[in-house]
Amino acid sequence: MQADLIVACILLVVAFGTCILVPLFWPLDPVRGVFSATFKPPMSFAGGHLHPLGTDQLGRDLLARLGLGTAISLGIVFVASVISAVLGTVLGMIAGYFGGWVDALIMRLVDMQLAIPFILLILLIVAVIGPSLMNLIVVLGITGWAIYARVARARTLEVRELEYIESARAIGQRKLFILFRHVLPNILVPQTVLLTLDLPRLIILEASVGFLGLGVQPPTPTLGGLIGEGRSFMLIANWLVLYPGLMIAALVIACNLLGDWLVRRNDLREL
Amino acid sequence: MLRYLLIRAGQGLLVLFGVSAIVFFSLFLTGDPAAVMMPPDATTAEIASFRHAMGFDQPIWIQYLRFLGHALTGHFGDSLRYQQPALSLLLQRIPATALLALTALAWSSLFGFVFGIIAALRQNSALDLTIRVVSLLGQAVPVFWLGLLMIIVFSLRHHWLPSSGMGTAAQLVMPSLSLGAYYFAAITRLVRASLIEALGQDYVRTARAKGLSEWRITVRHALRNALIPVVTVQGMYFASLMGGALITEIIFAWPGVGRLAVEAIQTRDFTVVQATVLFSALLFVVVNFLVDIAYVWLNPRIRL
Amino acid sequence: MKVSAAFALTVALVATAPAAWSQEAKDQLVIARAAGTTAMDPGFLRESATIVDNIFDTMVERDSQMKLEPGLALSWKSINPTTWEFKLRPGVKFTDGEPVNAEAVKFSLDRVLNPDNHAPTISYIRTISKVEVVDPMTVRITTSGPDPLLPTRMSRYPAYIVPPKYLKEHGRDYFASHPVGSGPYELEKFVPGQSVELKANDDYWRGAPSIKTVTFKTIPDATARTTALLNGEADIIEDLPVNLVPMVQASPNDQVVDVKNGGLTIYLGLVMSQKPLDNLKVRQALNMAIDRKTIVNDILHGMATVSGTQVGKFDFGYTDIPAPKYDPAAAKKLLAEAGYPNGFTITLESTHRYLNDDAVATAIAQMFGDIGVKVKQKVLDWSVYLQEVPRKGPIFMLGWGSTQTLDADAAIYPIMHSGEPYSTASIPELDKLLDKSRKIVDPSKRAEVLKQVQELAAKDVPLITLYQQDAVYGKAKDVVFSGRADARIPVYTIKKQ
Repeated sequence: MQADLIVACILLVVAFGTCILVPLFWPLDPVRGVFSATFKPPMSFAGGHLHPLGTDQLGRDLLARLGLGTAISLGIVFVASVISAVLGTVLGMIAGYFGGWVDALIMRLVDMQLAIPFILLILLIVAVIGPSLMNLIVVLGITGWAIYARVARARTLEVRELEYIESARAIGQRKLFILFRHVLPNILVPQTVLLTLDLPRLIILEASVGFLGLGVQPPTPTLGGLIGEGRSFMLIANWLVLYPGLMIAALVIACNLLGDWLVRRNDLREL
Repeated sequence: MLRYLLIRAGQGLLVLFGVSAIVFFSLFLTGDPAAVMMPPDATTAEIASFRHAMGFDQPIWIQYLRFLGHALTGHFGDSLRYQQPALSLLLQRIPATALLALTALAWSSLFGFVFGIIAALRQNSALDLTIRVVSLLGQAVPVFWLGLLMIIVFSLRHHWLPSSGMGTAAQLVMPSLSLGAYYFAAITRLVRASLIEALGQDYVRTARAKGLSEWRITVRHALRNALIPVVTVQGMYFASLMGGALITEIIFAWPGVGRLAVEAIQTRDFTVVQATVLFSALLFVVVNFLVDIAYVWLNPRIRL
Repeated sequence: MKVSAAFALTVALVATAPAAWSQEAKDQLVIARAAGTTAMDPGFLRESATIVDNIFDTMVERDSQMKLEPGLALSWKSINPTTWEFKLRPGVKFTDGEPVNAEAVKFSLDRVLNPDNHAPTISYIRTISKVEVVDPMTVRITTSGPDPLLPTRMSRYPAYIVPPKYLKEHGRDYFASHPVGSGPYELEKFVPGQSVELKANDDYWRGAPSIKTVTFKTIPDATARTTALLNGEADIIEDLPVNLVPMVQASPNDQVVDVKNGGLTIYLGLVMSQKPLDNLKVRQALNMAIDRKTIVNDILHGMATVSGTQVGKFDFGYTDIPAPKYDPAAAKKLLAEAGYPNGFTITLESTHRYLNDDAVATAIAQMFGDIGVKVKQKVLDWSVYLQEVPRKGPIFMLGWGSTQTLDADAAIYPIMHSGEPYSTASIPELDKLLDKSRKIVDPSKRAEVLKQVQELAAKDVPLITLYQQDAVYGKAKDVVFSGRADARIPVYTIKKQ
C-alpha cells in the first residue's frame, strides 16, 4: 500500500529533520541550563528566547535537547543494530552452512540469549560495567543478535542447496569464500529488512533502559534519558515526557510501516 | 514426534544450564557483595567476618558448583536483604506477576483476535484503517509512557482508578491495560495479516466455490492456518512480556517478580537475582516447549 | 459494535470496583514509603527504622524537640566516665506477655554485640564492653573508653529491646518476619517488599494509640507515590520530590510537611590523594565556584538550607559558619595561581538518592565549567555507587548526617578524619583536632574543639559542603503530623481529624 509508505516517509522526514536541523541550526544550548527559566511550558518566552517545546528542570530548551537526543538515540540504535546484524548473520550462516555440532552449539546460544528477558540482562550487565554511551551500544548490540542468527540460518539452509553453490563446492572453493561470496548476497536483503523490523524493538529498549536511569549519562540527552529524567517532573511538566514519547512513537511507526512495505515488496513473508 | 519433543526438552535443559552459568558468573563481576550489605561505617574486620559468614570468600568455581547443586534441589540460599530463602520470596511474588501477565495476555489475545479478524474480513474499510492505526500506535508507545499517561488521566485528573498497589479489581485495570497494549497491537496485526493471506489461498477459494458460508470458511479453514504464525511468535513475545511486566510493576508498585528482580539487581541481592532470572528462563523454556507442541498440533502437515 | 462491547466491559470493571482505595475510617492510616521493608528484627536492620520504631521501644527516647526523654528506662546516670546505670520503667510488658526487665535489655544488647551474629549496625554501639544486670529493674553498661554519647546510642537502633523468651523459642529468622515488641503497635500482616500492616497495642505503657491500624505501603517511584497521595490512596508519603511540592500544595485535600534541616547535609567529597585535588587552592576554587543560592532556590525550590558546615543545626557542637561566597572570578584566579590557568578535566559521580540530585549534579558540572573545569558526569545506581564512592571519584556527591546521634561527631568524624572508610580527606591538623574531640567528656570543652574542627574545615576544604536538605513529606489535610528532625514517624503521636 502506497499510503503506508507515504506516512512512513513523512514521519521519517519529521524525525530526521528534527535530529539533523535542530542540532545544526537551532541557537539554544541543549546542555547548558538557565536556572531562572525552569519548567517553562511550550511556546513560552524566557530570557529573550522562544521555547517551542518548553524548558526542563534546569531551564534547558526541550527542542534543542530533543533534536540532539534523537540524533544520539538513533546513533546508538543504528550502531547496535549493525553489531547485532553482523554478529547474528555471521553466526547464523555458519550454523546453517556447517551444520552438525557447530549448528547445535550456536542454536543453543540463540535459545539461551532469548531465554533471558533482554531488559533484565541489560540491567544486569549495565549494573556490572557501569552506564556509558559505549557500554550501552555494546550491550544492546550483543544482546540482539539471536533473531538475525535464526533467520540467517534458515535462509542459508535453503541457499546452500542451490545449484551454483553446489557447483562452487564441487570445484573446491574454500568454505568461507563460498559463504561470503555466494551465500551472503542471497541473505543480505532479508537481513536488511529484518533490521528495519527490529529497529522499533531497539528504540523502545533503549528508551526503557534510559527510563530506568541506566542509559547515557547526563547532561547528554537521549530519547530514553529524556523520558527517564522527565518522568520525575511529569505531573507538573508533562511536555518533558510527551514530546520525546511522540518522537519514539513516530520513529517506531515509521520503521514498522517501512519494514512491512519492504517485506511485501521483497516477498519475505517468513520474517 | 515424541522423539522431537524429547529432543526439544533436552535442549531446554541445556539452555537452563547455560543461563545459570551466565547469570552466576556475570554477577560476580559486580564486586564485593559484603561491602554493599554492611553499613557505611563498618570496619574492615566486620566486613571480612561478614564475607566469611556468607561464603563470599571461597573460590568462585566452588561457589558456582555449590550453587548448581543447590539450585537443582530448589535451594538458592537466603536473600541477603530479606533474610529469607530466595525461592520462597520468588514464590510469594509469582501469583502477582501471573495475575498481571495472564490478565494482560487474556485481554490482548481476545481483543487482538477479534479486531484482527474484523480488520481482515473488512479489509481496506474505514474500520480496518482505524484498527490498523490503533495497533500501530499500540506497538509504538513504550509501556512506561502509556502507564504514566494513564495514571495522569485516570488517577490524577478523574480519580477513577487507584494508581498503585494490588488487591482490588480496580487496581488491576491500568497495569494490565498498559502491559497488554503492545501484545494487543502485535496480535491484531499478525492475525489480520495471516488471515488475509489464508483467505487468498486455494483451499479457501475451493471452499467458497462449494458455497460454504463466509463465517464457516473463516473459522473452520482460514483461521486455523492463520493461527500458526500467531502461535509461533507467542513464545518470543512471552519473554518480552516478562520484560514489560518488569517496568509496569515498577510504575504501578505491583508486588511481582519483575520488581523483585530490579530491586535485587539494584541491591546486589545475588541469590534473589539468580532465582528470578533462572525462573524466567525456566518459564521461557516451558512456554516455548508448549508452543512447539501447539505448532505440531496445529499444523498436521509437519511430519517430524 | 465490538468496540462498544469492549468499552462496556471496561466500564463495568471500573464500576464494580467501588472507591475501595480511598481511606474513610478515622482510625486507619496509610503511609507510603520509597523503600520496601524486608525484615523487622531491630537488632539486625539493613534499612531505616521507620517501621520497627513503631513496634519496639528503646530505653531512651527523644521528644519532638529532639531532647532525650525516658523511654523504657525511667532514669540513667553516669557512675564513672566508663559506666552508666539505667533504671527501668516497672510494669511494662511485651505484647506476648513477657516482662521488660534488665534481663531483656542485656539479652537485646548482647546479641548485637556478639561478633558471631554479624550484626550490620554493631558499630553504632561498639563502645559497649559489658552489659550487667544489677537487679531486675537496673542495668549497668560499661564502655571501653569514656563515651559521652552512650544515652544517645540507647535511643536508636540497634538498641531496641526485644523479648528474650520469644526470640529463643522461635529463632532470629522467624522473629524478622514476626516481630514482637513493647511499642505502641504490633504486627498484623507482613508482605515482604510490599506492605506492613500494624494494629494498635491497646496496653501500650503510654496509653492506647488513637490510630488503630496503620499500613506502610511501598511505592518506590516518586511520581507514583505522589499520585497515591493526591488520589487519596495514602495519608502520608515520605520523600515528596521537591518539584511536585506545588502540586500537593494546590491539591484541596493535601498539604506539604517541610521539616527544615530535617535531612542529610549534601556535600562533594574530594579524593585528596588524587591530583589536582591535593592542591588547597584548587579545592578552594571549586568551593567558590558553586552558586549555592541558585541551586537551593531554583533547583531545590527552597527545600534546603545553604550551609558552611557539615554539622546540622540540631546537632550538639553546631557552629554557625557562613557558606563560601559565590565568586567565579576569584575562583578562576585561584586556579591560575595553583597552576591551572586553563582548568582541567575531572569526573563527578552522583546517584539517585537525594532531593533532585540529578539536576543538582548537572548544575554543579555547569558551574565548574564556567571556571574552566570540564566535568564528566557519572550517575550510578546507589548500590554500585556505595562501592565506588570512597575510592573513585575524584569528586562525588554524598549526603551525610547525624540522625543516629544528633551529635557533631557522627556528622564529621567519619567523612573528614583520614583513613575512615568514607573519608577521602587527609589533613593532619584536622585529624589531630578530631582525635582530641573524642577524648573529652566535658560538654562545653568538647563543643569548643568541635567548633575549631568546623572552622578549620571551612578553611582547608577537606570536602565541599553544599546545603542541608529538608525532610519533605506530603500528607492529607485531615492528618495531624508535623514531621521530626530525626526522620521518625511515630504513628502514636499522629491523629486524624
